Amino acid sequence: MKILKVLSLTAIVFLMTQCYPEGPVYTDELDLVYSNYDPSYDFASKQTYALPDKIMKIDDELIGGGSPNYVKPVYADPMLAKIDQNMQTAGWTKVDVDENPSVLLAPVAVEVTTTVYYGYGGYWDWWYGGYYPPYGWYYPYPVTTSYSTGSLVVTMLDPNDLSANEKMRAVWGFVVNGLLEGSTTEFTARFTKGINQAYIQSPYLNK
Amino acid sequence: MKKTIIITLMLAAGVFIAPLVSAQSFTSLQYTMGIPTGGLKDHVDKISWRGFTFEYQREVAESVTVGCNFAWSTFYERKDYDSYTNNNATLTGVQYRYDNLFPMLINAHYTIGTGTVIPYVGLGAGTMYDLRNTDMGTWTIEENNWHFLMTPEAGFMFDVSPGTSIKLNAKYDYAFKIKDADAFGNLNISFGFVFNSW
Repeated sequence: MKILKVLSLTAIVFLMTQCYPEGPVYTDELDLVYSNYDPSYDFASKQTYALPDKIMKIDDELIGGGSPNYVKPVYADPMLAKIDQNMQTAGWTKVDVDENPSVLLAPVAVEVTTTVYYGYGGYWDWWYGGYYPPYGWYYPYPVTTSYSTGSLVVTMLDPNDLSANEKMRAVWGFVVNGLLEGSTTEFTARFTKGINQAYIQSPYLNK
Repeated sequence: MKKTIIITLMLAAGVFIAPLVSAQSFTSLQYTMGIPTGGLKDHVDKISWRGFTFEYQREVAESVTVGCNFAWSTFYERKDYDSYTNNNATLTGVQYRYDNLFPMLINAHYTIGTGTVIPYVGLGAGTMYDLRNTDMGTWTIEENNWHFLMTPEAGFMFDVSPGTSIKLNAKYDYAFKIKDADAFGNLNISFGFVFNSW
């Protein structure tokens, strides 16, 4: 009977610690696309847009009043091309910013790094796949790890609709957010997929 | 509600009086699966295969035991890449939903017969702690609530050796509606061992 008690308890503890659902496994499973718009805005009557050839970074230097930095062209160019492609597929015409466009698109990038600190005496409590003895291990010194997420934020502005304090009205916008991991090709594929999704979920832009 | 409070108090009284009138006690350890209903099913539609139940019962009269019951069930569902719209805003991504349920209750059982296979019915009342997470990207929306709980139950015990039985039972946890959360249910199917006088 005693062995049954021990086996029951062991089985339950094993079940609850080893079989907990694991959640996301791949980087792209953490990618998000958010969009929002002003429902009172008449998108149908607008025909033209302007888009810069760079993506500005929102970083500490800019926030501190310094001059802006820009996303490297190897990353920025495919994203800007994808925005152009989607705007034109939706029936909009690209014009120069001097040609009185109906709307302006303002793309910016934000990077946030999150640091996880285990501190002294942190423990690794997971089973190492049966390869090593099931002791886990501990850290007698501080351990940190971190991950960075990046967001591409694109805002559509009406330059002919200014507020009393001369601010342009934002009428639509989207955010593509994900981990800044993987090769340039993988990163570009994930973020351009997100840009496509932003247009798919914004059918009111279509002509 | 008044009736359920009275039942709860009676059951609680039984737990404390029990040691004075009988020596026979039963401890159960069981694997538990759960089938979500109501508001829980709206959040996680999948059956839970992760759970356990611990129960302690003491005989207070012939065929009647009272005791307490604690359990933990984890529900999980991965929603494929999809869009969720609220007014003008739309959010798209893969969603991971988790629900950890911790029912804690005082209950009574009535056993029918004395053979090798002993059926029983039971009723319990207590509280349910519900920890609910919806993860998207690197964010999580977390809700946690305490519900009043009622649990009808039925099952069988099979004697396998002196002092040990196998127990198979179904228990329906009904968590009542509260101000911040809807009512929901969880049909537990449990399988495990009962040890007499542990």
